[in-house]
Amino acid sequence: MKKKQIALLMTGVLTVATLLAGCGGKEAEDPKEPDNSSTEQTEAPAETPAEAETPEEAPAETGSAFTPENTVTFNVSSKAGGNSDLITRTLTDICTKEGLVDVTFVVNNNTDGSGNIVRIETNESSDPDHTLLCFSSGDMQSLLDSDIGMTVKDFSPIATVAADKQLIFAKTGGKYDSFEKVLAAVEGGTKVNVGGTKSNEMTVFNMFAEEIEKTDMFNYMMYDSSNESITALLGDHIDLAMGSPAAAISYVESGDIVPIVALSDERFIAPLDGAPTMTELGYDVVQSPMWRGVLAPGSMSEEAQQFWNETFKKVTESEAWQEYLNKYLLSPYYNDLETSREIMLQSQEDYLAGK
Amino acid sequence: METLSYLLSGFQTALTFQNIGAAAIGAILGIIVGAMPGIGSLVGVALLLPLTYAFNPTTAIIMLGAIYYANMFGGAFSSILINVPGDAPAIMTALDGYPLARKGKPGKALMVANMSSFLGGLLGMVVLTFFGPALAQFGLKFGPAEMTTLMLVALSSISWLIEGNVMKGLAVTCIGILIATIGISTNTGEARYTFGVLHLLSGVNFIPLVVGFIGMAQVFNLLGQEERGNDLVVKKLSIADCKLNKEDFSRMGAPVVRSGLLGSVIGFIPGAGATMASIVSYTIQKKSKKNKEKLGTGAIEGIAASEAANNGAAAGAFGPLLALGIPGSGTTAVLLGGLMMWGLQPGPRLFTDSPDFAWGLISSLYVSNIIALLLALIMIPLIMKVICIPNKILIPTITVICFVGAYASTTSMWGVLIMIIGGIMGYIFQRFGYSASPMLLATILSVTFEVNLRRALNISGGSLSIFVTKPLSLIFLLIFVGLLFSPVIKKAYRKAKAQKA
Repeated sequence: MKKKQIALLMTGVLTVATLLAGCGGKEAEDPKEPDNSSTEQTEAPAETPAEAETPEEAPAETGSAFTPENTVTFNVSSKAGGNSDLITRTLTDICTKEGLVDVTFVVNNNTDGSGNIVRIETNESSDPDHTLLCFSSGDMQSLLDSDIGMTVKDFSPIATVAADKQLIFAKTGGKYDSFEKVLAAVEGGTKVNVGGTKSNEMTVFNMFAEEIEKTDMFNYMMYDSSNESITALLGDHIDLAMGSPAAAISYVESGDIVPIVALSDERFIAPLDGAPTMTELGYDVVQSPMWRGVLAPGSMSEEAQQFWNETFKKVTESEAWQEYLNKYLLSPYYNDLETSREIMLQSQEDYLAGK
Repeated sequence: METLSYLLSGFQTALTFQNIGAAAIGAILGIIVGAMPGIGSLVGVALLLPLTYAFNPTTAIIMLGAIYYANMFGGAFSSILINVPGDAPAIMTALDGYPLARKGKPGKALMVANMSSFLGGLLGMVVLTFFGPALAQFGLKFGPAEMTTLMLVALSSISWLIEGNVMKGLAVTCIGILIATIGISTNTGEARYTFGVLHLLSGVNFIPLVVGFIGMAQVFNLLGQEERGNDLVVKKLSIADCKLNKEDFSRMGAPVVRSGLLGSVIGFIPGAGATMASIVSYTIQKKSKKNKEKLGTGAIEGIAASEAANNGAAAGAFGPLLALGIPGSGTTAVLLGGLMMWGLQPGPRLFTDSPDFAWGLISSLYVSNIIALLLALIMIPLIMKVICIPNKILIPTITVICFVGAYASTTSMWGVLIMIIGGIMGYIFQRFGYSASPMLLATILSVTFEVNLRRALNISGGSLSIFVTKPLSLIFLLIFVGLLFSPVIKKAYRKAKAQKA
């Protein structure tokens, strides 16, 4: 009898454990910390309280000859809660709620091999028309520096959907709290320590250093996230930090840090509007928006590529998408199939040239 | 006084019927999930986050806090009862918790762990309440140079854990450091020791490694033994076995206060977290001359030091999160995501912009701490009987738990493979008298050490002077040198004393 009870208890515990492990949590929506939780495989669509509208519509006519029939696998190379995860779940959520696609999306998070395992899986998918991959210009480094032998050319670029531009920040009241002070220091032979992530932020900072012709005068320290580099700036461990508006805005509002240069063709909105652009400072424009977009397997059919691009166009026109962009201070950046392809290939070339 | 009135108003928010209920549900789920190896607090909080959607923001955040906090209580259960640490901080708890349980005192081990968790956490909360914002600013002082020298101190303290053959201890420590170098280097972006295996680009996942090295190795070990545990099966475990007497409390006292406070302060350092807190506190405890039993053999002091420290750190980690918006650990990063989802922006303005929320959350931590303790106390008499399960049921159960845990922490079969390899290595280690814990600790510490060392040298342009020109770094460096030469100095002192005599 006792053994039976023990066996029953064990079965119960194991069942709960297996269920918890298998069902996978999600929605650890943290735009500041891209690597914060385990990888998870969850089924979209997910209910979030933010988007309550559910228009009852039939799947929209897209004008293309393809209509998805099977479950769509949307691969993500970041952990649940990372930026790529967040954008993927927003895209799939809107697709479902706006009635643009009436099959199920399965979001598959896998960070193994710096995200390259899931990229290989995408390209080798047995159902290429129903497989998508979230990809951003920040992923170029891990794709191109690995030895998996794949580049963006091996995939079918589908669309860019949003972009993130950067600013250079300094500690308020610190020795480098204006561009002029930084310039005077580097011209006087002082090396300046800069922190930022190893992907897009490094590329755009190198462009900045090249533009002011002082590439040797900066030490670029790589951090895992913008949040980490801003923490280092707050603690006076580095002189300047690269960062996106979303990562830095609360510290600018509190007066702890100050933006000194906007790496964009126009000034950012308040409270980041104090930072001049490079053109205002008398240089050429320096910007390299970190685009976020979608790739598909190289073998995806033309019709399916067209369908997905048009679907994401409708997503980016929706109110829910606008809310998402506003919430995370991103810029709209939808582009058609051809332009998206050009942008992605150009980013690849820029990265390879900067290496 | 002002802080107290804020705290009291926070209690008004936290002590409504709905909020206490949410905290209780959060605590129950937190303990259950925390007790499952591989799921641990990080995945646990991420998993249970969607549950909070059903409530209003304050209630939801209170529930999240309770889930997070109760997870720390749950972590001790699997460590003590089946020697499978659910999460990295629980490694130190297993070192003494499991031996004590095997001595036929699982109830006492669990009770010490949970009481220490409660008291350590309470100390952490008091520190958070009165010194939160100030300590969060202090945490910012820990830059690359300070972290490097702090890690040097922590790494050298591993030597205190090495028992028996010193060479064997050093060998496993070196293996641990080698494992930490696998993967893409954060500083340079280069792949190291990956041998063309793509999975290795992101390094060796730590949780499956721990689950394998300790849990799976134990399965292999049990398979090689005859039916064990008969004495424990026969022995009746009663509630009386869980009770702590006066002596137990007096043995727990000093380790709990010391480790709770130390853990709280370590919790405030971004990037340090509960694991570091439990390692440092345990090793300091090991050095203490007041331990009644040798640590590692089932000493109450060891369990108390580890558990008080990790709960203190869990509370302390709220300091940088609330005051600066900086997540001190992976789990608090997920919590930050949860807070932001509700439109709350933890950061420098939180205490001025939304004091109700900030103090409501801090007050709810006190409530969650009490609820988690009460629940844990109710669960101990039931759950301690796990120790009596005969091998033929225990072996398959631990095996499944190891597999599920390894998979859950990575959602990839790669994690399971690491766990199995870890299990085989762990078994070989055990057979030949090598201890796994120095290796596991070296793996954790050397990752942080290397990243910060390289960053510090990058900042200083390659000059080592950065480690002596920064006051905090210099203090840690002096402690490190002191530790290094303390045996020589002690020996010389004794010799001089003997000569004098």
